[in-house]
Amino acid sequence: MQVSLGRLMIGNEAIAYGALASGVSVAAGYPGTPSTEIIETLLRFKDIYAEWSSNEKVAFETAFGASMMGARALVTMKHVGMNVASDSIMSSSYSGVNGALVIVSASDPGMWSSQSEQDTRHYGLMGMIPVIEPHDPQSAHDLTVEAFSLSHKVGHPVILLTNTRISHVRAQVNLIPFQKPVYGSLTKNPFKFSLVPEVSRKDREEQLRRWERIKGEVNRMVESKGEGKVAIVGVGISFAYAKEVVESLGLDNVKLIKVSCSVPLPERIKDMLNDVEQVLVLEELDPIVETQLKSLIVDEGMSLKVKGKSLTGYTGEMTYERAYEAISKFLGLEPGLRLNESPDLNVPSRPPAMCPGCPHRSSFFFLKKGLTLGGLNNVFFSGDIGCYSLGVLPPFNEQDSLISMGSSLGIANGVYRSTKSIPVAIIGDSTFFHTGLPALANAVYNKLPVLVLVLDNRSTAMTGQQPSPSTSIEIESAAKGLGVKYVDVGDPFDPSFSKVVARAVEWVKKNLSPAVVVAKRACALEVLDKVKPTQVAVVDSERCTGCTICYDHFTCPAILKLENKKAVINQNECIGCGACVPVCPYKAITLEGEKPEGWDEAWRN
Amino acid sequence: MIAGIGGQGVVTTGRMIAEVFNLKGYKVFEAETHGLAQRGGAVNVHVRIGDVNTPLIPMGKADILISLEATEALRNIQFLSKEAKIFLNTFTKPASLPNVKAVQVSEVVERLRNWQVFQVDCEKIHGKCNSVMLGCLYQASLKQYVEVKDFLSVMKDETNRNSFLSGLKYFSQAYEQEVRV
Repeated sequence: MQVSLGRLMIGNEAIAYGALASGVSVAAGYPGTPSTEIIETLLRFKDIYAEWSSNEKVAFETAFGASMMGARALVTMKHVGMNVASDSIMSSSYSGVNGALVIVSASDPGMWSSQSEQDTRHYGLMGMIPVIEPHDPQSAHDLTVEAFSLSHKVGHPVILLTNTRISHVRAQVNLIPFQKPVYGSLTKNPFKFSLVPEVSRKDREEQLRRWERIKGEVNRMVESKGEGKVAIVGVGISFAYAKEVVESLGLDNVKLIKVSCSVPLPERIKDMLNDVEQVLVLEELDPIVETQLKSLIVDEGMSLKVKGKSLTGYTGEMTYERAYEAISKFLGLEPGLRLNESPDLNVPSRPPAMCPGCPHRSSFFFLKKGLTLGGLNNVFFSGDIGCYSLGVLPPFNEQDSLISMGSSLGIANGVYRSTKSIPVAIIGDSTFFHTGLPALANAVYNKLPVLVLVLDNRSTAMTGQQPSPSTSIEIESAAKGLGVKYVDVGDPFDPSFSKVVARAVEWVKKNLSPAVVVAKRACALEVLDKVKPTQVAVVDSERCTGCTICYDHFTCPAILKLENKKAVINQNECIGCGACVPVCPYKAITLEGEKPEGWDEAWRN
Repeated sequence: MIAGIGGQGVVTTGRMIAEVFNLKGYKVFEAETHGLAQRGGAVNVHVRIGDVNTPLIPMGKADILISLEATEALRNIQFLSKEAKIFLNTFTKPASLPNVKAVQVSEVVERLRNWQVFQVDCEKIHGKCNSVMLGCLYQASLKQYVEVKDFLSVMKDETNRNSFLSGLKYFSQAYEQEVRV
């Protein structure tokens, strides 16, 4: 029996504990899969300051500001969150940092939960910020400590790059003991941090000098094992797959090189390639290491062949099969181990669905009715990022575009300006405060005729119900404060919500300005966390005509279709929310059982 | 491999197996699916135990598939080894979309004819389906590695523990003969 394999935890917890082992005192983030559990873990520790910020840029600036004061600071986000924060991130590389500043960016190759799989490492190249890549939860923990130490030593921000298969993988991790949090003290240094041109020019020179120091420091983040005329370079998690393939094929004439810092590529790698004739680079997404390696080889006047993306492809996550295929092709091996081809599964697709009791389903249902009532037909639904993105699916089809956090209003503006067709912008409460506010200001200022539907469920539900600013700020007040003249609120479970929508549409048509309607009802999962349901919906089969509306047009997962086309409610899935009751035109659905105490209050908050 | 629909406890099932083997000092890797993919959509969780360094099960290398919804077993057959055992909850649910038909359990079983399939009617066995399935898995395949008390110790509440024991009992009555052969 083995001992001291460590504690079982997911990679994100390992990263959080790595930060605690580095004396982190200030941590901020915006929830985004697969990064979310880092801040969630840190929030449990009361001797440090951790927060969910309103967006990634604010979160980054919080950590950056703390590091200016000498604190050890951490900021977390998913890969696309980097785009939101990038303006300030680029500046932080110019000014450098005091204390330490580690940016955790969680990628999502294969797009399990994202709109793109962009390669964050470009930010490292672009902004001259080192990018450190772990390959499993243990190395994520250890390299978090390395990242803090590098940042502190050089006075420069450092990116720690994780991904779905590190952040959300549970494995044993041996923890480094925690350190007392290192807070800051009030420090002013405008000639470093106030980036007016005079300061920036000086900072730029400093940045280039730090970059040279970083190149030296990261040389320890490359290791090689084995000897041979051919080498395989594995970057981050691709190293783990490369190792597994090399071991399973029993290749003993291959040099295996592990790269844990992809930007800048440790130059010491050239020493490891002295006697090598051919090298294969395995990395996810873009050829970041491959390109730097090719450049290094030219600079050094070395002569060896480099293969990479031409054998692995660009898209999707690294898997055993991809590594196996690339290595076989590279070595000119017959694929001795026959891999099961992905068969034609012929299984009906099962996309995610809105939960039973989800207020968004009712919002979409009554929005359509309201638009018809208000005389707005063939409308463009400008969508946004959140659980309500699922409104893209049938039967709703109410997300005609869905681009990035907070994009609904800007896209709607372009749609209207180019077509004179009044659009509907649909945005959730957390997204509204994330990047919706500036776009709403623009809509007011430039008089955009638009119906803005804010789906306010009081939480950042998609990533696991983190709190949203809407728990402290009324969206109605925010909209009024931004100068929106027409603001109304409705309950999406109440069929009169369609009239709320219709009235707003009529106002927009008449006044050619933005109107905001807030659909207010808590996330069903939040409600279930607070109150145990004691009611269920039942279908009176005498009254049910088999009209299909409840299961084909409302599509609550708890409503099932019987052979005779009548509806039946799955009592295990029904939470007794009653949202389906007004949906049935034949009054065949009723609620049975006693209403639990605090039920209505839970749905309101 | 654990398959099912988001909300059925797929992630929890994988986590309980990982925790049990962790207790016994085996190296484990368990790849979970979080976030949007969890809500009522198709979910699978990879669990690897032993001398492994990567989280995903290679195609054709899974020894065991637990499917908490029958159709979801079909979505994961590319991972199965020829000798794989399948623990199949005989329950199907169509996606929450308009105009979809549920796949019949008999059709699923027919398409899995090349493997050893243990059909488990979770609804008939009292308790939580994922723990019932773990009870079956224990009785069929895990006895030589871990003990009942280990499983019971990683389960949060009494319902889970009772479900586990019901599954174990059900399996030994329904399938023990077959396993011995």
